[in-house]
Amino acid sequence: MRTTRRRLLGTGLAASLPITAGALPAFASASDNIIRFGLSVEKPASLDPAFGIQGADNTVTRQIFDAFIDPPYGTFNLDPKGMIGEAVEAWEMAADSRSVTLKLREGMLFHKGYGEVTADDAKFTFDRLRDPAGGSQYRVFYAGVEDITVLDKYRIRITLKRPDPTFYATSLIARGAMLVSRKAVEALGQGFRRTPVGSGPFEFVSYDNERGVVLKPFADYHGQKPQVAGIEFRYVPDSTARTLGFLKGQLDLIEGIRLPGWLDEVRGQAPKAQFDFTRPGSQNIIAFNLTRKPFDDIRVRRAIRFAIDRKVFQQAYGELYGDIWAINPPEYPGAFQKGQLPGDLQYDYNPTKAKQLLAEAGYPKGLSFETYISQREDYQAVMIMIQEMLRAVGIDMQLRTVDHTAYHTDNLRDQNIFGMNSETTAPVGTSLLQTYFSSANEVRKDGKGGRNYSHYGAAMPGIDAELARILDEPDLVRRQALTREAEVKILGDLPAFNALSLHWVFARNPRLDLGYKINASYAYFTLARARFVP
Amino acid sequence: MRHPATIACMAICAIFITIAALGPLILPQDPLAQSFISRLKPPSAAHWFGTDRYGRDVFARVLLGTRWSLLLGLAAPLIAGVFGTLIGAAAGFYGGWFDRIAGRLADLLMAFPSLLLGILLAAALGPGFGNLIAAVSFAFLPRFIRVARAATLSVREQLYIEAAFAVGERPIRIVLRHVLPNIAGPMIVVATLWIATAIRIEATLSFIGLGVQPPQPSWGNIIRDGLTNILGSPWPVVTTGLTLTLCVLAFNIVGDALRDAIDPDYRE
Repeated sequence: MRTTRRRLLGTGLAASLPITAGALPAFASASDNIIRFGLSVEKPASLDPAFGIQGADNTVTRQIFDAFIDPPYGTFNLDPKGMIGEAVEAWEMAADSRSVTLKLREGMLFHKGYGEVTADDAKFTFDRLRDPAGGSQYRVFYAGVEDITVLDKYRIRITLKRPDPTFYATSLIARGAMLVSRKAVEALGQGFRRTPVGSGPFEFVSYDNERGVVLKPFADYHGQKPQVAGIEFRYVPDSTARTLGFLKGQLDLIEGIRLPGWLDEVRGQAPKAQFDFTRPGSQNIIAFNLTRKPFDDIRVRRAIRFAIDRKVFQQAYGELYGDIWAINPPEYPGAFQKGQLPGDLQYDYNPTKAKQLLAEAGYPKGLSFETYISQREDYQAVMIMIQEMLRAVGIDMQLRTVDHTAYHTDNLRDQNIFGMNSETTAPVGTSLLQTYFSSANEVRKDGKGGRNYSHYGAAMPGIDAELARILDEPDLVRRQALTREAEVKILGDLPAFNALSLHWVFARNPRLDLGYKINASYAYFTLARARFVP
Repeated sequence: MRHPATIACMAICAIFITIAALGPLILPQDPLAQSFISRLKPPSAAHWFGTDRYGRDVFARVLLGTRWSLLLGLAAPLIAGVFGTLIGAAAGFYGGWFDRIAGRLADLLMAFPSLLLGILLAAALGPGFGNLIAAVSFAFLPRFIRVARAATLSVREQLYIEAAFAVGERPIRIVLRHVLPNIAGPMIVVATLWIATAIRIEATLSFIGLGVQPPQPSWGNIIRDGLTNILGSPWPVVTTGLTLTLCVLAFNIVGDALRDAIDPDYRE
């Protein structure tokens, strides 16, 4: 190997000099009228809305599929009278909250010639979501469904096993419940996850590594036609590349980077950039795997909870941060507010108590464990902060970084022992409880279980009975009281905890008008009304 | 070796090695301690290289990162050197099927650049420093096999080897006593030259998340963390990048000088 000093000098300098952003951004309307949306993951995992495992997939599927109903865009206002009908023109909850009837819009078509949308497709959509063997992450929200009946070509009735006045809010809005074509699912099989067919405002065109997922407006869309020529979802997991892509005007919309300092920095570089926040944003649930040591010991779990300092998160995230006192964020109707919980269950930062509990559990000199964490910056930042908090009480948490898609896949296969999941739910008190604490949603080795990563209710008695009582209760106020009781039990048992609420943030080209203002939302929203303005 | 630049670079290498050896004993601050009140600060008397987004002192992190970078920089060429020399010497000395297999294997692996091979192996083994050393050592292996084999072929023709055969010495003894000592010089030169490359590969792999895991600092992951905030606070990237450049340059110049001193082909 003939190596010259000059060559080495050149290589070294090239390797060390940072790539800077260059000139300040000059935001413009896209000349081709196509929205370019930078997503934070490596690639899509599944574009079948029933089987999405990462938020970025939902961002794409939300454009391709119709929800049945949805809160007014940009809000989580769950007043039944104000709900927007997408695939349905009318819906009615029975007075006893035991059934709901949906009337589809007539003449709606599926993409790619899959024909008219009928009640059979609607029934099929719900049946595959609730199929216990189907493996949908959302099936826990359909466990209360007794039967689905096709009444005629455009109407179905969903009968519930017990009264559920919140069924529409948990199970009919744009989450898993997005209308799919039976014919397309049956014809395409597993291929449906890569070539989705919906009835929404945009239809799938292609996916490749360079352009990502490409969508074009659906010419026969039943609602208001999109005003843009298409959407390209670019997969840019590297946060710096995504930010620079936005600042250079190559991306019109990006998933923001929920890292300390990022927001101020981009505001400084691009004062005209728009930022859309979803509040309360995502709940960062961290689950102890109760089947593995040392987390089978409540003293260790409580020690870790007492070692976590909310003020650190608050300082780090500033306006993106939201306090959590129990499981549900305080913005949810009926949720615990500051100071409402009894004594120790508030888990105020107390490192002395944490060390004492560790000593009682047989770890006077602390303990060590390894867990893995997603490469995605917001996951990593939270865990790095927790790692430092735990170090202060003698706990050595070793992190292993893996790709975001692999992270979720492995979590769903019960591989992790202290995994975090960042998720937004509609403000319904039972949503997080059913998702993370119901034994019916227990994680399974084959990956077909749910997101109860702690095995609560299986490895130790859980809140199944309390959940049943809540779900049996038709009165909303009494439901909220029962929900709080269940939360108190969870805080005592501590199979998992909600570490913090973190608002999602999207940076947007000021020339791109979404058509509505985002105040609250999942981490995804419809672009059906989006347009470029001069 | 007496050139002023070489002497300066030897001094720089000695300083880096001292920092790596003393490690935690000389840190001005805890490199892991977070303080969000003082995050993303520019260089100051309190924080010579500024602070990162968690408020950690970048200078302390760079000092501690030196340990990881040099550990890999020295360990990977050493491991690859030991195994590569043994395999290459055996291939060159014995010839036959072993030579053919070792030669083809080395050719095959040489088809991949060391960095690419390192990334492939590190990705397959998973993140972690032990895996990183294994991956980079393996990526370097064919280079050492090739050099050791060529040097052995040359040594094998020498009269003292024939003499050793003539007096009935066993082949293994000849390899150990006569071949290895005589090919040690070029092997040391090769190892020295690859130290800088190993440091660069470590930084690259840590940059993409396959190397040293958080919160431990390495030059690569400090640069990676800093990139996200580079628009407002370029200091972690700039200072760590310059440190990396200086270290790589110093080891390369020392390696060059050593090669010039030992290998007559390069003597001016």
